[in-house]
Parts: sequence; C-alpha cells; structure tokens
Amino acid sequence: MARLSTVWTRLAQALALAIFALSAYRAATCSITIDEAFTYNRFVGVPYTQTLTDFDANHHVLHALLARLSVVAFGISEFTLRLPSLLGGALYLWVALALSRIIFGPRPMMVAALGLLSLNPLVLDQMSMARGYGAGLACWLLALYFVAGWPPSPRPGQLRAAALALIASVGFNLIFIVPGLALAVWCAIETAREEGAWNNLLNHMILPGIVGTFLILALPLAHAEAQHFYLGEKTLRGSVLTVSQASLLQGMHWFPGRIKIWNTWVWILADKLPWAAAALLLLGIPAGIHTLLRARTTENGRLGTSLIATAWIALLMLVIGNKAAHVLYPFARTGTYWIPLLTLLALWLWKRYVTHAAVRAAVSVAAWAWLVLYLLQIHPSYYPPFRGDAGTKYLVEVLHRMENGSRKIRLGVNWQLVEGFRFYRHRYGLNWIEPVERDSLEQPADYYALLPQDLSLIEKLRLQVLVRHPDSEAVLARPAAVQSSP
Amino acid sequence: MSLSGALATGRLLLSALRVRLAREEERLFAFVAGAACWSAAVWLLAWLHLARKGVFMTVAAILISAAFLALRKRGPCASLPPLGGRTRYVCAALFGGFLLMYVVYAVAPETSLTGNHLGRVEQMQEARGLPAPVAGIVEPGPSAIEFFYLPAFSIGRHASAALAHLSFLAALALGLASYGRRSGCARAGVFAGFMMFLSPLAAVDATSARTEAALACTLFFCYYALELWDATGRRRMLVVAGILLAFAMAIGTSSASLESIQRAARPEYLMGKAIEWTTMGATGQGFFGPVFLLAPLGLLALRKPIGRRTLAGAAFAALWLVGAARPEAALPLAAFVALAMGMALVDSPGMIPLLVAVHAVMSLPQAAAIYSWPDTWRLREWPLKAALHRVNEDAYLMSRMYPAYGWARSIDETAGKSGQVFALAEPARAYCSARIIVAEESEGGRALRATLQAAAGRRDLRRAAISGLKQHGFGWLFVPDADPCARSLRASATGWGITPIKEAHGAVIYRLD
Repeated sequence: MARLSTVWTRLAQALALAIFALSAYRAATCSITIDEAFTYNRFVGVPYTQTLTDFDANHHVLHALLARLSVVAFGISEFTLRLPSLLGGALYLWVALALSRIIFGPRPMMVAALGLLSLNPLVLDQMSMARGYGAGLACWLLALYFVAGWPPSPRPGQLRAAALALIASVGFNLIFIVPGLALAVWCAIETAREEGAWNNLLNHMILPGIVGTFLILALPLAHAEAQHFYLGEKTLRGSVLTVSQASLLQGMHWFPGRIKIWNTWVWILADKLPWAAAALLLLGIPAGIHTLLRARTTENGRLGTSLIATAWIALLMLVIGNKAAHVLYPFARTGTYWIPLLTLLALWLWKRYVTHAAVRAAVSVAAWAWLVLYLLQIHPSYYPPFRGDAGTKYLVEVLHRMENGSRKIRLGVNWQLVEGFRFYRHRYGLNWIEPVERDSLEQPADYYALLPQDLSLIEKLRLQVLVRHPDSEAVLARPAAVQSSP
Repeated sequence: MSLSGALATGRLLLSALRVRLAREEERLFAFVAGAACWSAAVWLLAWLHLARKGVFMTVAAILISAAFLALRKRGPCASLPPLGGRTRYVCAALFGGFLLMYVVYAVAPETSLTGNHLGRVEQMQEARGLPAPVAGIVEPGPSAIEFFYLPAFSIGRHASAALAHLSFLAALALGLASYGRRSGCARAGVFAGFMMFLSPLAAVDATSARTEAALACTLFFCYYALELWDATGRRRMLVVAGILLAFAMAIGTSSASLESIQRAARPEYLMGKAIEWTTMGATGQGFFGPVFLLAPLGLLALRKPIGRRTLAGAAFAALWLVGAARPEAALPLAAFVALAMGMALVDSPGMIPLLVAVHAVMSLPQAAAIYSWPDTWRLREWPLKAALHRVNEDAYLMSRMYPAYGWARSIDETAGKSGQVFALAEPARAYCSARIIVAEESEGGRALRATLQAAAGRRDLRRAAISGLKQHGFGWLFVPDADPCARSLRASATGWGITPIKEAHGAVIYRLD
C-alpha cells in the first residue's frame, strides 16, 4: 500500500514536471503575443522611471520589474521576457501539488486534481506567458496554502510569510486584490476568536501587507485614471460565462466543426457552468459550517473553510464593488483565480462529503473526463487566445532573410500584429524597418503583414503573397510590381 | 539673531514659570515659546518705530545675558529615554544630511512666489516700524512670523529669514521625536519627525520665508504643552500652551466657512486631492510625498488613548486646512497625522525604518522630479553656487521668478523707496522697497480696480478714477499687459492723466500726473 502511494506521488510529480517542461518549451518557442509585446514595449523595454510612473490595465508592476531584470541580465528574447512567469508557473505547480495532497493524500485523485488545477487553458497559458497573471496566481495560492497550514494561533513568521505571498500576488497583478483581501478578511475573522491573535494578525500580516502592496503599486497607481480599468464584464453571469468559455472552448478551434454533437455539448456545458458554480458555492455553506464545528483545526478542514469563506467574501466584494462603484466583473483571464478556488472547493466537497461508492466513482470519472477536455486544448506552438500572433516571429524572420538591411523598408501591418512587430524589430535590431504604426495598413508599404480579416487587401492592392503561417493564417505579402525574389 | 533671541526669551519664560522639563524638551520649548515672545517684543519695537538693527542687537544681547544668568541658577535637567545606539546614529545622519541640504536651499536667494511676508518685512525695515496705512484701504494685517523675521532680515536679508523659518521645521521634527520618547512610543515619534522633516512640501515651504512650517510647529508644541499639563498636572504648562496658541493664531488664522467645510467633506473631493497632495502635486502646488497616502492607517491609532488624543489634535489642526484648501495649509494637520501613522505602525516590525527609508529616497529633489507633475512647487536643482553667491543674483532670480522679479526691479527703479504703487498684478515684493498695494488683496483695492475697469469703457470717468487713486496716496500705477484695463491705459494715457514711465517684462509702470 505504501509503495502504491509512492507511485501516485511520483506520478503527480512527473505530471508537474511534464507541465513545467511544456511551459518552458512554449516560453522558448512561441511567438510573442500582442499583450506580451505591449508589456515589453511600454513597461519593460523603457527606463525604470516609466515602468514606475506609467499605468495601464496591462501593467503588472512586479512582473514588469522582474521581466526587466531578466532581460537586462540575460538579454532580450521571448524566453527571458517570460522567465518570471515560468518561475511563477513552477511555484504554482508546487503549491497545486501540495494542496492536492492535502485534500486527497497520495491517491489517484491527487494526480487528477493536479491536472484539473494546472491544465485549464487559462491557467496553463499564464504559466509561461509574459504577464503577471501566472505568478500572481501562484503567490495567491501559496498564501492560501500557508493559511491552511496555520495552527489556531499562528506565529509572526507564518503571518509575515502569508503577507509576503499576498503582497507579491497583488504586485504581480491587481486582480488578486479581490481574492487577497478576501483571504485576509477570512484570516481576521478566524483569528478574532483567539485572544491577542487579532493584534498579531494586524501587526504581522495586515499592516505589512498594506505597506508592501503600497510600496509596489503606489507610484504607478497614482498615475491611473478611471478609463484605465477597461477590461471587464457588466454582469456576474456574463463574467462567469467568459471564464467557463475560456476554460472549455478557447483551444477547441482545431476540432472538426462537423462533429456537431460534440461541439454543441461543450457549448451547453460552458453555458451551464455558472449554475454549477452557484450550486457549488451554496453547497459550500453547510459544509463549511459543519467543518468549522467539527474539524476546523485539521489542515484539510482549514483548507476547506478557507476556500468557502474566501470564495464567498470575494464574490461579495465583486458584487458590492459593481453595485456601489460600477467596478466591472472579471473577464476571462482577470477571473483566473476562480479556477483554482472553485476547482479546489469542488474537489474538497467531493472528498469530504460524497461517501456513496457509486457516486464517488461517477464523480471520479467526470473529473478525469473534464481533464480530457483540458488536454484537448493544449497547443504547444501557440497560445489559443492569441492565435493571430502565432506567426509574427516567423513573418519577421522571413522578412529578415529577404531584406537583410539592404534598404530602409516600410511595413503595413494589421493593428493586432503591430506590437509584436515592434518587439521583434527591437529584439533583432532591425532598424532598417521603419517604426511600425497602428494605422500602417492605410499607407503604401513595401511589405504587408495581414490577418485573415485583411485578405481582401491582397486583391485590392494587387499583393503577391510570400508566405502564410499555418496556425495563425497570417500572411506576408508585397506589392506584385516588385520583381526581386526572396 | 532671531534664533538666539527666541531661545533666550524662551529660557527666561520657562525659568519665570518654573517649568521643569527634560533637557531635550526644554530647548525645543524654549525656542518655540521664545519665538512667540520674541515676535511680540519685535512687534512692540516696530510699533514704537524702533525697528533698527542696533536696537534688535541690543535687546537680544540683554535677553541672552539674562537667560545665561537664569540658566546658571537652574539645576541639572533629566533626559528623555534614549533611542537605541545604532538607531540614534542613523537618525542623526539622515537628519543632518537633509538639514545640510535644506540650509543650502534656504541660503540661496528666496524664490517663493506666493509669499508676501518678506515684502512686508522689507517695508517695515524701510519704515523702521509698522508702515503707515494707506487711506481707505484695509490691508491684511501682518503675520506674527513677520516680526520674527524682521531682526533676522535686518542683518542677513532674505537668507536669514528663510533660515529662521527652517529652524521651525527642525524644531517640529525634533519635537515629534521627543514627544514620542516621552510617551513611550519613541519609534512613532521619530517616524513622524522624519515624515515631516523629509516631506518635499515641508522642505520647500521651510526653506522659504513663509508661515506654514512655523504654524505647524507652534500648533504641535501647543498640543505637546497640553499633553505635558495632562501628564504632570503642572498648571503652568497651560500658560505655555496659551502663549503658543495665541502665537499660532497670530501667525495665520483659519477662515473656515460652512461652505468650505462641506466641500472638503465630500469623498470625491478628498479622493481627488489625496493623490494630488501626496504624490503628483499640481501647477504651483507642493506635495507631501507618496508615503502620506498611507495616512488612513493613522485611524488605527484610535485603539490607544494617546492615539485618540493625537487624532483630536489633528481635527483641531484641520481647521487651518478647511479655511484654505492648499496643501501647505495642511502642514499642521500632517504633523498629527504622521504621529498617528507612527502609532499605528509602531508594533509592526520593520515597517517604520522601511517607510522612513522610502520617504527619504522619494523626497530627494532628483527622485521627486520623476513622479511628480513637472511644474509643482518643490526643491529643484541644487543651488550651491547661488547659495555661495557665485552666480549673478539678478539673473538667478529673473530665471526663477520671471516676470515677477523683473517687475519688482522695474518698480524699484522708477518709483523708488518712497513711492506708493497701486498694482494690478503681484510683483516679487520681497525684492521691492516701494510700498505696493496689490488690488486683489483688499476690499478697497478691488473697489479701486473696479473703478478703473469701469473707466476703461467710459472716457468721462477716467480722470476721476485716477484722481481717486491719488486721493488714496498712490503716485504710481502698475499694469500688466494681460489686465483688461491695460489696452485702454496704453492707448490713451494722456486722456487718463497718467504718463507711462517704464515698460518691462509685459507690464507698464505709469506715473499719476
């Protein structure tokens, strides 16, 4: 039996390593995406002063600072830009493995739990993309892990570790202010019952948390305006739908459209997920109360109550923020934290309260099937939400081979590719390409980089297609009158 | 001389009241309470038209001698609980470094645009006392701080007055620290002291001959005296507190109206101002430094009785803010808020040194340039050459106070020391010996300006308007080109009965014929 448990542990570790290897491969090989390139062009490849005093919803401050450090230390490339996220991904996998072990112990479901927590496309992409979501999620989950492991009266060191993790998560991405605050509020409620613990929590977790977050974000946020917070959904249901669709449909575009039953089934599933999430939260209330009364001191019990409380407090904060201050609800990736939160909650409820063997087996099968849904969406060579960017690097390399700096050229580029072209122009030092502007397609150019929606221009401008990228379907073309061959 | 005069007067006052304080406190109270008494003494001399350098020096010498004798009779004083060894040296190094920097800024020629205080000091020096009032025009009364500056100005001119003001900021910082040490939360006091001393706004205000740092210092010491009375039961501390409160009121009173209080209480107003006043600044306005954005943490001080009293002090100091919604008017409030923040953070290990270090870095003029609005009021390039008088002072001032300094020089050259000028815009009065009445600053001035504007549209009223000015004793009229009357005055000066004497820096100086 002991040997079998070691096997499952080793299997889970192997899965974590495989996911990390996949993330590293994607970090090294995937073409830069529009959001990553924008991050580099505006917040990383600029003087420190601009990193610290400029703001946009795209600006994930701590990530930008670490990415800058990485680029300065190792030179500019897609991999060095993505290195902080990759390390964040490694941390996420380690914490996800630890949390899966807390819930299931060394059993087969631990492997499934790790897969469900890590292979969701929204989470997996962020383990290597040069944004702050992945590392922020890892730090927030680490804080949750710390809280789950606390004794009834946590020591100052334990409180400071949780504060540090929460500071880092919010520093990496502002979206984690909601689950971070929710977790802190739950800690306050939890510790208020212990004598003297409230002061301890205030002095060693809450105040350091506020000060640390302030130190990272104060200057950039001082330059923020209301219109900078543009990404979001107006309704709660719409918000949950964006998260569920991004989890279940975003990477499915390759699946043959003619298998309609499958297609319809996945759409229906994504559409019903908000109800499932609501049911999960409602079921969590009696389960949480029961655990508080019976087993709140065990690590598993603390994890469960923390999950339920954090989910409810976060939800309340979002609703109050929306109703009182018109703050938008999360949109797809800005609601990333709901994925581990709800996944862990579902797994915890299943492990603790589903006792009937047949039901347990059925839910196990459903969990593995769900995992298959995630596996079907893995694309090692590109990030599904940014499929249009998949060929940017390839197009630039072709252009580089064709021209090689022999003359100054002007590019007409679809606006979605502009940031990527700017990044590669800088990365390869292609100063013979004139700076690429957003409206460049409206001006005459020597070469054109087009996406499928621009293909009508090929006929209109009498362009000769030079190459077409298979994944992104982006096209490099030039006016047909030019005679020189590549 | 002002500093030693104040210290001596303060020592005599404390001896007379037989108030026994700790050694550190005694020096600070002697300075601040002494400044109040010394100002009153100078006011008396000015009223008697004895405001001369020799008189000031004689009185100061007498006071210093008397204080020396009083000090010899007094026994040794106790000390406040000391700061830890390494902390003391780090604090001293940080305080000394910034003080040295501030001294250089203060010694450089005064370039504060909005302060009229040195203008009035200059006129008092010219008149050897309080200048005669202008008939029919009620000017704003002189601030008590101007009488404190007058002896210093009579010896060292502008730089001495600025240094005298800087001494109040230093006293405030040291006072906050000693208050913390006495109250058993030394780190909170030291934190508050540094928050105030390093603040970019406090720095630029204190290195100019203005009033706000002095007001903040006086109000805080008034609170400190009340705390000492409460803690020790010595009623004589109430006398000190009363003197300091009177001095604070005489430095600058609050003109809080119900409307301004209601406006200031609106959350969106507060939110908007919070970023502007702490981090970004605005055109011509200073800012406290980004760490003050954490001011709401000060509310956690409500958990302790001393914190509640500090916040009560903050509420009182806020009265000066609601009357004039400018960041520098919030300096008295900021001292209490910083103290409350320190009390909230005092039990959180590492937070106070971390925030002081960050505040120090962010307050350096070079760092503030990175994150603040470009034309905020703050310390700018290092003025060492100007402080050492190695640059042409005229050119230096002209580049920093254009066109106000140019106007002042032109007025001085045309109107002379005895001239009385009615000005439709504000020149740099700190550099002008002529008596200048700025139209916007008094009810009577605004009425005269309205008469001029009415006359600009009606030829038949023009000579009457000018003779109205002459009846008030004005011999000169200063008109910037941007003024609505400027075109009419320039086009038909003879019709108005005036002669343009000098045209410079976008303004014209007319002689009233």
